[in-house]
Amino acid sequence: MKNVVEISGVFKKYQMGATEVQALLGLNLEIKSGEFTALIGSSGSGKTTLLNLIGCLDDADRGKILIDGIDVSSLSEDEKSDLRNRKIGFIFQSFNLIPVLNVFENVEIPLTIRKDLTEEQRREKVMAALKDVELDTFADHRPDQLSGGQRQRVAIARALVTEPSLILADEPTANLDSKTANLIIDLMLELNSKKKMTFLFCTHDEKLMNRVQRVLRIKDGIIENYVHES
Amino acid sequence: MKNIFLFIVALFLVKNSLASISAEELLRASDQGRGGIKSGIEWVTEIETIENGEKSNRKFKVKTLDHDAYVEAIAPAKNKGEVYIFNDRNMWFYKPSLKKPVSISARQKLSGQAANGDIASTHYARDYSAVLEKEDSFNGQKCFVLLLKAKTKNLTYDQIRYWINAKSRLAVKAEFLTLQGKPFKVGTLEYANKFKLDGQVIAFVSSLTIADAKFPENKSIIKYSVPKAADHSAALFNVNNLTR
Amino acid sequence: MELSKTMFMNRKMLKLAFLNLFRNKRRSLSTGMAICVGFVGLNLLGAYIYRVKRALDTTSVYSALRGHVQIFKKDALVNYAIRPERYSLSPSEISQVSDILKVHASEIEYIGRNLSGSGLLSNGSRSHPVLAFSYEAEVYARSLMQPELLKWANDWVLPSQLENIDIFKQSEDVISITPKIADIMGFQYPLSSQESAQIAARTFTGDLNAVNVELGAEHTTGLQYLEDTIILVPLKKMQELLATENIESFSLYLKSSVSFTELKKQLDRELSQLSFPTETYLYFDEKINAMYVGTLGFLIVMGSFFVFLIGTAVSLTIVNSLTMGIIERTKEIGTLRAVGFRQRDVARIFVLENIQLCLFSIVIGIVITYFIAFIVNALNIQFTPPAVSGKVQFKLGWNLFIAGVITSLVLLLTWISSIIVMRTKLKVKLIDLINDSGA
Repeated sequence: MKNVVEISGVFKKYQMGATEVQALLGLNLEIKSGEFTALIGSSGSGKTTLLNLIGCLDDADRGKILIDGIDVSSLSEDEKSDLRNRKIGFIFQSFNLIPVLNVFENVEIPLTIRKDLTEEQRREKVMAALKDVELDTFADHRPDQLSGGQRQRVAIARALVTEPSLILADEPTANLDSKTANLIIDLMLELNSKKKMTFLFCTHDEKLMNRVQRVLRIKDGIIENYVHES
Repeated sequence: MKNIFLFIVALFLVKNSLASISAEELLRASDQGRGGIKSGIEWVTEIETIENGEKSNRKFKVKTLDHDAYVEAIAPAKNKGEVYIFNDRNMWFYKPSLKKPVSISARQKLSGQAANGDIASTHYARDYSAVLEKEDSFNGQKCFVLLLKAKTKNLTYDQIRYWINAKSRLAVKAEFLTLQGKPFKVGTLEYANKFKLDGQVIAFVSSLTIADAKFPENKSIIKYSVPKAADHSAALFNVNNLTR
Repeated sequence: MELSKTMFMNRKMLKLAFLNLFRNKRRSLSTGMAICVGFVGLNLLGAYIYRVKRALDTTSVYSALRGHVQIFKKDALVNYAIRPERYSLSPSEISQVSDILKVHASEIEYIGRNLSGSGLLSNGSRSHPVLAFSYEAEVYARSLMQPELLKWANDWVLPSQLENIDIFKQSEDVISITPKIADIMGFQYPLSSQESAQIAARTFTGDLNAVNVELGAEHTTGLQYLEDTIILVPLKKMQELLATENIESFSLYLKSSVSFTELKKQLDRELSQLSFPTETYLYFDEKINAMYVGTLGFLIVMGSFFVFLIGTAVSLTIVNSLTMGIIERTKEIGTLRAVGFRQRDVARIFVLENIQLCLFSIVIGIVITYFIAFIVNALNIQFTPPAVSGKVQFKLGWNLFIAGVITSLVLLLTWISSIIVMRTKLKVKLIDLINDSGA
């Protein structure tokens, strides 16, 4: 299995008011294609920071990050945008759907800037993604007409639609009740097993850990130990 | 001490001589030499104009009676029959082809430096208020210098500085001034003509040379000849009779 | 194929931008209203300036009998009044110029010949100083009947001028005076050809001359300071008065399709071959038409000032609205950037949003301007502009050309304002956009 993510010796610090916080301290990590990985750790441990660096939303101070073999530090802003569009899918804690667009259009958003697809191809991809999250009948609904779980499924479909190498999810269940949260994890696991999609998500929810193939704990800016690997 | 005494004496003499002659009297006397007479007289005027190197000549027969004048063009041939009539301060132009005479301004140029008002008799005593400014000499002769200011608008000139010979009481030099008091034309007069009126011999102007103050080469020489007393009917000067 | 994909992308962005307009309806409405009011204001200002310009154009060319191009002897503008004989065109010179003009017959609608001079208009008992300009009956009649003149400057064409247009052809002694001169001179009004007058002037050789003329025609200069001064005299009568066969200038009235400047250039080339020097002027040259240049210059300065004020107000409204929009949608911008939108893709959505709002406002603005212009013109509001004699109608010469120019200007303004805001506000780091709490 090839590595989708390869991180070596990554440092990152940021300012929090007057204090300088050292979020990552020479962190090393590899994620193989098709893995379903959870990242846990206490608040402020650096898990979101790590996710942001992998998602090219932020730049590391030092160290190397390879996504699908591409060194992201050498990329321009536009190239990073293209990399995010083609290789990374994002699932946010608060869904981040665009309220004026319907479900179909929200899922279609990452494809609108793709010039390599015809309108028909786009439609097919969007409908396939919606089918994967079982929301194909809700295509015309607006986000405010959906439940929290449905909204997160729309967000998952939006992450899937570009068929990325890696899906990053930052606390995807934090805003959901435990039943819905389980359903979302089920969905993600199903996509992982059926479509061999690579997931990396961070969570506080210790209950989810038993259901995940690989759990990593981050503490004081480094991966402390492999909590669980099956 | 001697100098101071002489200066005081001189001042007294000048003051005395200036005070003893009325400016208006002088002006009235000088008008007589330029046709300003109550009785009828007539003369011939020839104007030679040199303007920007070009020469032209015009000839008029002038008949006057008191404040009126009848000026008839006699040369060149193309202007023959043209008439200028002066009734007091009003001036008219007429030619036979016109249905009515045209009221014109005395200020307008007649020819070169000569204004329309320059060809008829002069009535400065009537038209201008005079102030005796100083004494001066012109051509070695003592003169009184008067500053004339127009009493009404539309006179030929607004202001004139006028040199009147102390002995002959005839005007010998004139500076025609702008409203601001700057000379724009300078005239010199000669009196070689004479005529008899009521048994009295009157000296009469023989030439008036008017030159541009800035460009003296542009000038008009008005020559006056054969002045004589004449009996003119008042009807001659009635502008309404021109078209009858 | 590539094009259709790009179009798809633009269509999607256009839709998103359109939908965004409805997110904060009150703000979109107020911004749209500001753009609309600014647009209407600029259009009305443009319509007024355009109307004045067209009135100046047509009166300069036709009422003042200047034509589009005027041909003079060289330096005549300065020296004609002092040495008219030397600085006017003699019969042989007239025929040489006419030969050149014959070559351009297809471009020239008609030609006028002019002569002018200062003089006195007399009613037999008193005189009034005037500036006399010559006219030729045919040229005068054709000029007065020009549709452009009647459309843009009908206030400066007296009704009697059109009613008695043949009066000039019937008699070679008829002069045209202004109603004000008639009043000053005590002529009977309406003017009658039974009443005669005399004009006196100095001839080319410096003699005083006078001619008989008939009254009966009137005109207006449209200007206070000229209304008691200008009279129009038949060319032959003028030549008789000034004792000359010369003319001062030619006026060329060109066909509407002809380029004035191009013809002037050609004429300058051809006239330079003549044995005597000439010069040509377009009707809007400051040397022959200082009033045109001065009036238009003033209006343009005034107009530019208002354009600046209105433009600034519209820009600031757009900047403000856009800034608020960006602040409110920071997280959304972050999401778009996270899913692969480049900074300029995001900027495009916001620019499109404002352009669409601007276009809606313009469409409404066009309708409002049309109605205001229609109502103002229908109300026939009379006023006296500075230096103009008599009242004129406050007319707005609005048309789609003006609307097009103002639309381009407002769109450009919107685009520039949007770009400025996007350049400054979108420079935020992506991570900060994503983490924005929306506060």
